[in-house]
Amino acid sequence: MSSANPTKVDESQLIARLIAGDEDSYRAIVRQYHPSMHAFARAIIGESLADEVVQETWISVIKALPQFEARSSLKTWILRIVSNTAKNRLRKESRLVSFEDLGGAADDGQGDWFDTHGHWQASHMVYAWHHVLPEDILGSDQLRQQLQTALAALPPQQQAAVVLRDMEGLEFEEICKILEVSESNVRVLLHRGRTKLRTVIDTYNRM
Amino acid sequence: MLSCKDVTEKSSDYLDHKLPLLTRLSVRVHLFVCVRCRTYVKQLRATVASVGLLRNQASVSEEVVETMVTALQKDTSKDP
Repeated sequence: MSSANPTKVDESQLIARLIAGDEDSYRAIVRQYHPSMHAFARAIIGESLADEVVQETWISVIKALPQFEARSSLKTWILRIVSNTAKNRLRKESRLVSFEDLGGAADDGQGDWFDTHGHWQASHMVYAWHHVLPEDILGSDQLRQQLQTALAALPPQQQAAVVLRDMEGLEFEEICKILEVSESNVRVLLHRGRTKLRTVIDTYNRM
Repeated sequence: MLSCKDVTEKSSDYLDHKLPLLTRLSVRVHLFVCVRCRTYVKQLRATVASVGLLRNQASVSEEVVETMVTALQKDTSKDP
């Protein structure tokens, strides 16, 4: 009887081929993980340096693969290296600012939505959207662009949390390890980031 | 009973199943009776799903793939 996890088996075979320098395996892993790495690097360091950070990370990943112990998924391990590489670069580029300082203001943008009793203000009524299916929401090129712009404009820690949770589907435990923050902190970052993104879609629907 | 403000503040945790059981039940009761908050949570869920779809639709160009593969081969062949 075999109880091996097929993903782990596939990963271990892929890793063995990568260590052996197999060119097709390089292509496969770059195709699979590059978009995730780029989105996450961009969250930490910004668009202009994301390419360099990802390239640097790939070299670190390939060099460190023989030491990969499969205590997490390959994706989580790679994203952790992206995180370290991007944070180091951030420290070099702006000595006064660290990633930990970039959580954004405490304001979640909901300040004037409610009256003193916590009920919705008449000025902030919640109207139903024309579309609630993601395929329909992203069917508008203009809204898709606005959502991408708003995501890129989130404070780095909020953006990183949204990328890891909502784009990459990572569990909270993995996100905490990668970002080196507590679970309650991740929850706050997600709340603030998602609230702002919802407002973007809501504003578009009111036009 | 939770207020609408309480519910919106907890809505992200609600979607992630991160609320204690009693709080989760209180949110559900509120959503049952409050159409605005129900709409809000539905919209927040749609927002999260849309961000996820943005990722699913992202891909890397073959040009970038080949550039990376070449860089990796060069770099790893430098090592003994």
